[in-house]
Amino acid sequence: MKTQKGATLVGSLLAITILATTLVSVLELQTSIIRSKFFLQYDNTANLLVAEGLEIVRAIYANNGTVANGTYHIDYTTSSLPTLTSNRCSVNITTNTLNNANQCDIDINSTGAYALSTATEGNRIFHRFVNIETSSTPTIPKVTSTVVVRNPKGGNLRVYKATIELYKIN
Amino acid sequence: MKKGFSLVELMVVVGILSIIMLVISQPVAGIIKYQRESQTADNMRDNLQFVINKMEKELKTSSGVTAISGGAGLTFKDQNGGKVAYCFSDNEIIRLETDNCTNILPSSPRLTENTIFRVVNLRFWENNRTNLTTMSISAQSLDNKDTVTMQMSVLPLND
Repeated sequence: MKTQKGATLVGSLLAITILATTLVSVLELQTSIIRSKFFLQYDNTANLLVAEGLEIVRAIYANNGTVANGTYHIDYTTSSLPTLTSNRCSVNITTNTLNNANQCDIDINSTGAYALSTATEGNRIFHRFVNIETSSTPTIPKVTSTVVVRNPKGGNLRVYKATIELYKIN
Repeated sequence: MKKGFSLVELMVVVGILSIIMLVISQPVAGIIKYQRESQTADNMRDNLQFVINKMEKELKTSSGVTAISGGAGLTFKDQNGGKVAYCFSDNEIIRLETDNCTNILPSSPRLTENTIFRVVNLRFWENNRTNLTTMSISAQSLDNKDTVTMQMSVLPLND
């Protein structure tokens, strides 16, 4: 009987598995790089928006002498903190969800500035809200500015946050 | 008993390997392309961030901040009382030590260079009720592939 030496079924399956794994890894790497590029693109802007949120509250505090506790949706034209709404914007890092996103939408407006967006649909890239908590003694308002960056194509939210305490300069 | 591989077997192997290489090479080429594009955009963002930080630092200790009509420029007095103007001209941001943007010379100091990227929009706003000064800069890469907008608001301490 004529004998032929060839690859076994197990050998073939092993080879196919290794090749498929390599291919999937390369494709995943590409997806990851594209996603990183997207977030990197908005990283600086998000950090500036966080700092701006703090600066806006600082300006209101310097002007009015007081700020009320709460969560607010503000922009550079804001001169006093708006009335609180019941559907406040909030982010849940555990579930990676942004609740009531349309309450904190921010977008580039026609004048080229990042400002409040009146869109009803919360599919904006940037979302910002500030939270104010005042300690009882001494009464120092603590301001936390939060910016959430959302990739419209999906993926995890990116949250940027900074906190300051407002002191009165005599 | 056969020894070695036949021509057909070799051709099949080469064919399969070619297909695999072809499939893998496309994502790899994509990665290289994105990396190159990212470098240009990163460079532009770093430069813009530097300019914004520089302007923010100076505005923090300034007084008499006034946006020029239309918002394409800003005048103020620095911490020593010297007149300063930020002006937008020829896709560049220029810093003049005067109180207007009417006399821009080729030798005037530039905060940005249009040979690295083009500033396509510069706007300043003042919030008259809170004294908050807001600046927004949009820049475009020289190949027009990337556009970056950055905004910062500052409360001048001396206003």
